[in-house]
Amino acid sequence: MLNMTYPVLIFMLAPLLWKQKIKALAVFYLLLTMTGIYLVIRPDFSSIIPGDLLGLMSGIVAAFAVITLSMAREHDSTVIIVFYLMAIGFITNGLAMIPVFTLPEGIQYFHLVASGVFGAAGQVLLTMGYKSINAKTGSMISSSRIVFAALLGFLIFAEPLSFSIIAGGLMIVGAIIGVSRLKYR
Amino acid sequence: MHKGILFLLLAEFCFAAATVFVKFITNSSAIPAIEITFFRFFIGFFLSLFYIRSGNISLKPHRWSLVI
Repeated sequence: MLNMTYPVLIFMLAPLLWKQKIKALAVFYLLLTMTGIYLVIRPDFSSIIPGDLLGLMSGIVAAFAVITLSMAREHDSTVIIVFYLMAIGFITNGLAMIPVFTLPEGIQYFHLVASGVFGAAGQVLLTMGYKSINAKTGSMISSSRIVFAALLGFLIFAEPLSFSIIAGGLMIVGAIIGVSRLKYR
Repeated sequence: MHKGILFLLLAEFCFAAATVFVKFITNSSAIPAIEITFFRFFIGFFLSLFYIRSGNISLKPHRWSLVI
């Protein structure tokens, strides 16, 4: 839940970075999105653990990543941005992976490649999308990942779809439909 | 539907689909998360490099600070 807080951070930073006014309707959709995320994930806030702090930090990092991606997209093409992102990730993850590398076996190669292809395709599409929409709108639409994950979890792993998940998913979808009717840039 | 929103929805579906395969891996092996992430960057790096080389596109970005 905490690493999904970045739409809130982007909304808070937007007036400072882009001198954008925040529409009341956009704030409503943001609240609807965050409520939907809460209902789908149902996090346990009864005790705070160090991992929670990391989750919040990853939300802050994600907010800055989305902001810089949105800004970079105004000057450079999708392929150049994706290339440098992948190059940096390739080198840093490659170095960090060496001490813990585990040789995959059989079907695991397919799963690794499929995960990599979908992840890379997602990054390309994300970068293409930010050409024509702003960081605020984009960050809210990104919450659709939770809805897709819940649906795929239900279809592939037979994970239960509770009333809370369905209600939260509908709220996120409703917020996305609403925000898609607002002005994008 | 606005093109940008469609791209982002497709992107998020791809990320969710990637997570499905990650779950298959973590359910059946001790392959660390950093190795799974590495494969994403590895594939993305070589695909984008191939596209850049085949299209004779300059590797020099207009705004280094934002890209890096």
